[in-house]
Amino acid sequence: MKKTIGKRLTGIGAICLATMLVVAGCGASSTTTGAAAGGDKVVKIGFFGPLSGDAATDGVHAKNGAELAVDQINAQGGVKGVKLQLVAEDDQASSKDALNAVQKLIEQEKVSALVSGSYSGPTKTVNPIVQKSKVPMVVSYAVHPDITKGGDYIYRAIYTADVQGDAMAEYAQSELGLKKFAVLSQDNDYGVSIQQAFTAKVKELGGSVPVSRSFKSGDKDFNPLLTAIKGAGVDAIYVAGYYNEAAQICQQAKQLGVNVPVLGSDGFDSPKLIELGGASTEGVTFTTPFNRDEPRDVVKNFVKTYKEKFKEDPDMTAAQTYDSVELIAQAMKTGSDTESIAKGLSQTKDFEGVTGNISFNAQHEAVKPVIFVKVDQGKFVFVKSISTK
Amino acid sequence: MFWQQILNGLTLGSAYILIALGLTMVYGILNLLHFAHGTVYMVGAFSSMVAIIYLKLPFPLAFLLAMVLAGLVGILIERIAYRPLRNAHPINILISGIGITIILENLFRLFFGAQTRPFPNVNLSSKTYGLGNGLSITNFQIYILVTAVVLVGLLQILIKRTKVGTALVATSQDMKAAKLMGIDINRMVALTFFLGSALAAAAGTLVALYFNAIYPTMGSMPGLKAFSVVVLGGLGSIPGTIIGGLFLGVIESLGAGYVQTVIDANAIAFVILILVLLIKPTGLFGKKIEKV
Repeated sequence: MKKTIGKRLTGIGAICLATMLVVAGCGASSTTTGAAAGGDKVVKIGFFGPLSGDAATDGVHAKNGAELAVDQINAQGGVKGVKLQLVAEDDQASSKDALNAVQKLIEQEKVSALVSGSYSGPTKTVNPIVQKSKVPMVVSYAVHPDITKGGDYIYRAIYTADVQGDAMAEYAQSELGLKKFAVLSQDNDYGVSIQQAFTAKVKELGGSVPVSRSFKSGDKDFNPLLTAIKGAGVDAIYVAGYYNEAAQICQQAKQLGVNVPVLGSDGFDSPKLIELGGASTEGVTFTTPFNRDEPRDVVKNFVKTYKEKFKEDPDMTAAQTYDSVELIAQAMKTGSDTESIAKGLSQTKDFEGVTGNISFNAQHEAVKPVIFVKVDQGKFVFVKSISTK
Repeated sequence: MFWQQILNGLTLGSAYILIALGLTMVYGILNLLHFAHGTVYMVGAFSSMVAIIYLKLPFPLAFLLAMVLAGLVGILIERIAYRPLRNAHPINILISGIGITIILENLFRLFFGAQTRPFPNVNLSSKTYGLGNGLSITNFQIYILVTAVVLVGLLQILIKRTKVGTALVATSQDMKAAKLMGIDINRMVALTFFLGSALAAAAGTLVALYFNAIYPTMGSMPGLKAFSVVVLGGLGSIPGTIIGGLFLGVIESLGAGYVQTVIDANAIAFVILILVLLIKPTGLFGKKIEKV
């Protein structure tokens, strides 16, 4: 009997140990890139985003964009002799982890500026602590309207949900001549805010939205929703969501014989959309801030150097985060302490970024063009660009 | 559109049945809630992927290999996580199962990354067949339905018509008596885990193919839903599991199609679970029905 208990305990012990090892292995560990503290003056820039978990593709690409910007700025001697150092934290796209990450970046790492490479939910959650700590933050690609509110330290390098929802509603109705829409939205801050803007604009312009449904991140079976849409006889499906679910929607819509155009938001802008959705994504049109075919030098240089360093094509999150770091560097020209960076950011006007000419308005929101991109023969192709107010 | 939703639901339900059968068989023989079963489903999908990409096997062979591999993983889980605890408190066994789930999911995340991967190209493109009245079915849906029918049929033959099956039934009815009759209990338990895991792997592969998506946490939700199916059908009852699986699939489809504003499709399974536990804890086919 004793022997069995002993054996049993060893078994349990082994499992506990293994679990601990695995959990410890997955624990957040920050990675730093850029200038090591040598003789130069170094300013730390904190980054947080989903480096693991379901949203890892976005987070990793965002971090790549930030790294590339830091490397290039340092290679040119930094900003007035001050080198940058990127400190990256993983938030797994969870609000709780983002809060811990930002606290660590501000209190332990004493960063001079922050870059959010994460989604709307987590970024909205860290808003109060960032505003209170008076550390300037540039939000790369989270679009929920509330993110920049409540203080003068948070700036957003992408337009808000309203802008892209409105833009797509106008484009679909006036240029594509579509009137009746089914809307499918991701059940989070991102999806809901875009869906609301789109729906309101469609109705304002005289169109209708007979079916509006939401889905959860990670959902795979869209057959019931698409079957309901099939019965409603709409002109198009608008999806306010990310590439994982979007790829499923495109695929299952085709299989079910729902042959109407699929329109999307900037969450579509990832090579994964085409990888997972295959031929069914042909003809899908979506809004994005990033036009990879643009002939400007900044864009060409970005696409080329990104491909050299990371062996893949950059996507929207990479471009946005690259611009965010560049915006901070630009703001550092007047001084590299937190107050000077915040002041510098507030004065940003017509900064030439990869994602267009960026100015910040009084609400700390980027004013720049909305770009329409279409999937054509397995590639993202530029359709048109419209400027926003 | 109603019949389309029913058809969608039957496909979904067939996948649930394949996953839930393993759970119900394990419960039947060991009275044990096999919490790591959902991860075996994931292991099955990844095994198929690896077999296709690295071993260059054609899809049907990869599919069979994945079933065998996942079956062995099932036996291993029983050997490592459950057998040492066989006489322990059920809670310990449950926790042990959860531990295995965490370990396996994270191991796969370490090796394959957390991102969703497409199912490897196997020259199977999706085809849609119209059935009239706007009703349509895809070849992937047909594969899932046919595989479920064939595998469930084979399982029934094994249990009802073979000596091994009789031994399995005997073990599930009374382990001690079966042991006295000279049945190797541990071998029967291992066989149960092998069969159940192989069925889960079949479901994992087919669903991964159907949705063109493979990722380390893909087993967690289907695993939980399989629990609801098993409880609904009556723990340990195979016919109950089949009815329960089809029922849940259809209800979910109809729910998502018609009343999503009231209740989320994913929540339906758990509402049913709670209702069954409150009203008829033995499930649809509780107790007196044959066990295994």
